[in-house]
Amino acid sequence: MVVTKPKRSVEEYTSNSYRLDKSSPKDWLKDSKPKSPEQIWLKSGEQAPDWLPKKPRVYRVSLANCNYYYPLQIREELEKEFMKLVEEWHQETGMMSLVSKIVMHPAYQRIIGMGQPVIPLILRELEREPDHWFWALRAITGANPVKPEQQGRLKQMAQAWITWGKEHGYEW
Amino acid sequence: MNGKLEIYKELKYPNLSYTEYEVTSKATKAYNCFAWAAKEDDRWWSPEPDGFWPDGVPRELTIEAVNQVYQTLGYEPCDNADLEPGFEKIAIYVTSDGEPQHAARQLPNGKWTSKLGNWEDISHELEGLANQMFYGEVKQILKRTL
Repeated sequence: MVVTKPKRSVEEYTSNSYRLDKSSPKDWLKDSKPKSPEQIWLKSGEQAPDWLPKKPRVYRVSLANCNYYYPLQIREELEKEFMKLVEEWHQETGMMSLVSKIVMHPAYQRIIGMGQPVIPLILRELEREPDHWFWALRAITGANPVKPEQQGRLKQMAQAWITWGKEHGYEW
Repeated sequence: MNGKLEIYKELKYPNLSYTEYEVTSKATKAYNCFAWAAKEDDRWWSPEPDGFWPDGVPRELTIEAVNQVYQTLGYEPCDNADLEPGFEKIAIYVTSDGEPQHAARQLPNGKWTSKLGNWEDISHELEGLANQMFYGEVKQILKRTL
């Protein structure tokens, strides 16, 4: 594995600079495509080069599609943004009675745009209180575990998605 | 349970504060106004895939489709919102672009009962919820015999 000195200073380094998804191949690093000079990949436990500053920047990497790697927000930042959007969504759609109106709110659309990393946060919200997260979950995952006879019954729909999430390895 | 909505909720309905209304339930996300008008309190009635919609009724947001929804329960179009002994009525609020946004059911005392989205149920006057920003105006009355 080649480690290239970054062009700009790396603010943060950690031996956990990547996180393997459960479903990912263990030897994913061997087959990975060349990284940009600003990225470094180190195996867990590998010694950090001397030129790296002590305060590391943490990159977490999505391996949902192993042909592409892209840095993700760290969980704390993701969660903070998610909760801000949830609050905004609740405040501005509380009086609405139509699902199509509720889910078209810009904050909800932004949450959909955050993609797969927010699924555990949505499932956690759903477990806390059944709400209209089903549209977002369908949009992000392409799945729909809700049976026709459960349509409209938020508790049952929420339970169907929570079960689906656990079966697919999501933790929250 | 009787009382007024929190001020930030009341501000969504500018007519409420100068018409009579009172809160009649706790806030819940278990059902919506279209279900409550049909006397259900355990599921959302909405034409999207996430909502319940009666079999055979087009899943579309039109006054014709909403009329058909309540026709499955015996309601028929009617030309006034007056209290008529022996009948119960539903009022449909429609926006200026023709989309039904809200339904209210008439109570035996002539007032109307509504579920406000994810919020509380209230009893109110029809004008109280008229609002071009959200629900629009009452454009359709339906009735059925008790």
